Amino acid sequence: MSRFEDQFKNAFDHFEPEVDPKLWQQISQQLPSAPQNPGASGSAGTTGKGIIAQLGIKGIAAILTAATLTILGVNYWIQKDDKAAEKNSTTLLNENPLPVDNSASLPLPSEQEKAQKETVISSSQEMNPSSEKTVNSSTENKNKLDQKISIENALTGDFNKGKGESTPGKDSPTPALVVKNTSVAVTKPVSNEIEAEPKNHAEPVAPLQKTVKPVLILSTKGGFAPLPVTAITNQEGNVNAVFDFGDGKSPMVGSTANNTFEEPGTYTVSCEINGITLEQKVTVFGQVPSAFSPNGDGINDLLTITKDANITIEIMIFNRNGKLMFTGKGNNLFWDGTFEGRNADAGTYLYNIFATSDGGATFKQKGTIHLFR
Amino acid sequence: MSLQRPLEMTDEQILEAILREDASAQRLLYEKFARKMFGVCLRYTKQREEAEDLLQEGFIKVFQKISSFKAEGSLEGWIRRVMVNTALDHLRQQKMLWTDLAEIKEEGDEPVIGQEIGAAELMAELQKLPIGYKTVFNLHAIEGYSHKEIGGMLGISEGTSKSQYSRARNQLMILVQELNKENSYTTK
Repeated sequence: MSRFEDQFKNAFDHFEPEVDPKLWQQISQQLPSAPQNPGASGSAGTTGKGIIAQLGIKGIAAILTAATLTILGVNYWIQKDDKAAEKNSTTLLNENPLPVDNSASLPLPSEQEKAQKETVISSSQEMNPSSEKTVNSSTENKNKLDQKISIENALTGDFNKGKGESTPGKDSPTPALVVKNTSVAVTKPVSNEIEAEPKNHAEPVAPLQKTVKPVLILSTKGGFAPLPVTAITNQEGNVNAVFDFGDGKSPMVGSTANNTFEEPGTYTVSCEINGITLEQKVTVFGQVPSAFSPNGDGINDLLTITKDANITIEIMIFNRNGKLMFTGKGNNLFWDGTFEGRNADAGTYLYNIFATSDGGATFKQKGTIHLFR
Repeated sequence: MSLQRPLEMTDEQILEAILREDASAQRLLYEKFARKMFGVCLRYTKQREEAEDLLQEGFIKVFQKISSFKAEGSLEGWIRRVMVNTALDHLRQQKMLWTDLAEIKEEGDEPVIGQEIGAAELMAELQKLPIGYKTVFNLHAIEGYSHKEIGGMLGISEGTSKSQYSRARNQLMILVQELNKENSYTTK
């Protein structure tokens, strides 16, 4: 391969153009396990609701209560289930976290409620295979968290309901939060990673010194919709933090999480880790349209750059030859597609934007606009 | 202290979540690869709308077949192959005629693409090529298939693939030279 082609290949290898957010809606509607799941007992709505319908309200209540109890330090339930899960998921406990033949070990959505329940238990086991042998209380604590999370994961569609009952949410801190925050057990999962002086458990101060204070870090504090944001924590090792991006989507579990904000607005991103909830704000601005058609037909005749009162935008629009066609600054900006009183040619234009939010955050954006006539 | 923090959820974590029917995981996978794959789809099409159709169809196939994905290669590579195959399916439906032309030997230096020319602009030039040229160029120069393999994929001879390729390359060189010229005017 000679250099000429390589230049193309290199350019395209890192080319990730914006995708219309509507596409995902269209795709998700056509997926077999899409939200429209005609549930067993005829409850329309989300998958989560379907599962709830299948398990029955009592079953859910039992699971959630049990999860809450285990967080509070009752060990019986979890130990019993550890054994049950071992039986159920021996195939899942090997080194490879990917079951190649999933048809054997993971039931399809149409199968019975019992199978659903088993999946919940075995998958949590799978997430944390190390807990299989340990009787160490700190590992158990972690395991409980996993268990709780995976149960809630299974209920994704109705996560907030579960949250209100068992998870320390940011709006309504429950006793579970307090207990985890203050008890010695909080520091154990972290010190467990370091594996140092297990005898020091009696003195809470020693493990605390080894604990890194959790911090939530976002890849960006703001930008234009759709805005991809990666959230990470500074915690080492196998961390299971619960990330909620505050835009109505299901929370995610892991050491990091990605989200794309589709709609403009200010969002509070929260991260719950070891019982502590951290928050950061993200400002998302409305996207500049990629095309307009100033032909006087009343449809998309104006390019709306911004009409958001909370943001000041400075824009420069260039034609393909680099000539400045339009420039403006403010929070109510439009371009009518003319240049010095004459209609600008149809084609692609490039823009540079420098934006300032009310809060003082600044953003830069480059892009292209298609002018049709 | 060095902190180990992967920048995003790993492919394995996403896959695992999809296989255990986590409703948000499909979306996670989509969000992770949609942009990159849209770039792939754009290369095989003339217009954005056409590429969006491909992307949509491709991702539906990905989710339908994801349980058959073997963790032998990368997940991204597998998704990309699904996208390319979807593009080729569309091409076959068009029942296009391939003409076997003589290979062209270029003369003169290969143009170096100016630094200020971005992928979006190169994409616009590539999209201008006739569909046959474009497809063969994509498969050979970008995806890395041999002319023999391309012949098999498109139902054409190895020679046809080569001639389409040399013409695609030649035309692209001319387009790039024009782009370079345009840019040199604007900097003056």
